[in-house]
Amino acid sequence: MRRLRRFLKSFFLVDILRGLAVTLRLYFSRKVTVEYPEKVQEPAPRFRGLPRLYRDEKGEPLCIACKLCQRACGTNCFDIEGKRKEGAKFMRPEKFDWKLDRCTFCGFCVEVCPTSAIRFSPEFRLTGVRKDGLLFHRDQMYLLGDDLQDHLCGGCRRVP
Amino acid sequence: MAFREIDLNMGPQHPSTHGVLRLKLAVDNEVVLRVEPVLGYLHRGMEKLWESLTYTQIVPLTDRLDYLASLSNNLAYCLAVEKLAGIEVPRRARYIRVVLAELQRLASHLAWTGFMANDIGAMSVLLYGFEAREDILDIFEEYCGARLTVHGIRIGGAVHDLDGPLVSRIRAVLERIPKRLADIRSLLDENRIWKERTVGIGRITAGEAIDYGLTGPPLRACGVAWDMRKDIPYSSYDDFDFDVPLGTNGDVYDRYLVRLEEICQSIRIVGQALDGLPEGEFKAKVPRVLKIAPGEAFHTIEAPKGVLGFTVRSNGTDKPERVKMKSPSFINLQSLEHLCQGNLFSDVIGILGSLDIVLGEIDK
Repeated sequence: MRRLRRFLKSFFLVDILRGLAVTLRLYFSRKVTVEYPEKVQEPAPRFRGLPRLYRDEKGEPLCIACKLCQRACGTNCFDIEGKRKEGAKFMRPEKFDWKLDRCTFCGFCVEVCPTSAIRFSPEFRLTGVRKDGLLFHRDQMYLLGDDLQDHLCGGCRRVP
Repeated sequence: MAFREIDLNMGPQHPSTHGVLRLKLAVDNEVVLRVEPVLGYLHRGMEKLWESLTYTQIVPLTDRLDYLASLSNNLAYCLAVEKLAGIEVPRRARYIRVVLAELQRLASHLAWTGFMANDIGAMSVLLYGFEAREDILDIFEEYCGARLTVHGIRIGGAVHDLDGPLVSRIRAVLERIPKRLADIRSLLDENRIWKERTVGIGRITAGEAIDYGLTGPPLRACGVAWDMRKDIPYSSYDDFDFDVPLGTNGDVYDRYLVRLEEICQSIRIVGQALDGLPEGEFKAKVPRVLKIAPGEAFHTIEAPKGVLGFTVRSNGTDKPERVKMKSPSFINLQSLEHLCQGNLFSDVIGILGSLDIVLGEIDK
């Protein structure tokens, strides 16, 4: 009896038809694919995108050139030199070089920063066409969004 | 036909070797006589590199070993360092780690199901498996901001707390996965092509598997109940009620069944861990510069690929003197020749896929 059932099952291609039913059902179900350049998914709030230097509400830089990020970094991304101007309360970075091609996006620099000056941005388009486009100087570390893309690649901007 | 031995070269650039693995095959017509894996194409000198980094700085680099299950690597390394330094991890942190590690197991096994089916020729399973895995990667992105190289477990605990919205999101994903799993099973379980290519292929007996040092699903497919989560519990795994799925024949089909059943068990564990999530700290107080007195510690966990262990030797400074990794893929790969001998050449791909290797972990 079991042999007969197995024979009938294999003769009428039951296994293949069950599989085809699944693919047919899913063919008509909701699409999950996002067509990337036309549609861009927003990254999660905690997304570890390109690290940026931020300013406070008055436009003053937050970075006090304490070099904690430089020390925490496992891949030597940072090269920082600070200087205190006459009468100023804090040191400010004279030089803040950051190398994208060395970064592993581990997040140590963001965690140790005492003034929250360096933070992750939601920027995930990190391609560049020149090696020096991957080296960020101090003023480029303040750039955000599409200005940053001019610095990096310029070829892969979002389609409106 | 006359006996004629031919040497064939497979890889290092081959879509079914899951990375840059080169296989030197000796075949007689269609039958495999010998297989010799040639390693080292992805060697990055990780173990040497770790000697120049502090204990905390090593954690993000362990992501890059088994990049399909990076949280398991984080967990194994952090447990070894905690054992060496004598750090007590809070109970809530241990539960969060279990949730993360089991979600990572789900992601790894779903990806494996897709890759394996794709190697054998079932393209749609790849897409369905990846769709389910995508949900889990989205959880990781929400939890710690990265999808593959997550760096979500730190020495002393986890990187963030599991808050309410995330917990409900995990629950919603856990409800969706069994449905997708049922689709995959109805596509593969009874499918004649799938069974033709997997049942009885790449068989190994329990005794031989133990001799070769196989661990993880390939070992359990032979019927050996050896699971670190049950036998040497770590990170509060003894609080949870789950079964260790076992196979009987030790062939490719049984490894597939064992992995799919492990997905169901992982869903059970995550559900229990979320239900019983205790109050408290999610991270122990650990100094930022961790200095550990001279000593040596070894800790193993049950990673999705098998038993993953780290040996850490300290010398009193903030950097380890030596970190040695016992990677399951590397040890499972050495049984490849035994599994392939006498099988057809076309089955090598299926057998290699069934071992679930990741080259980042083999070459380090």
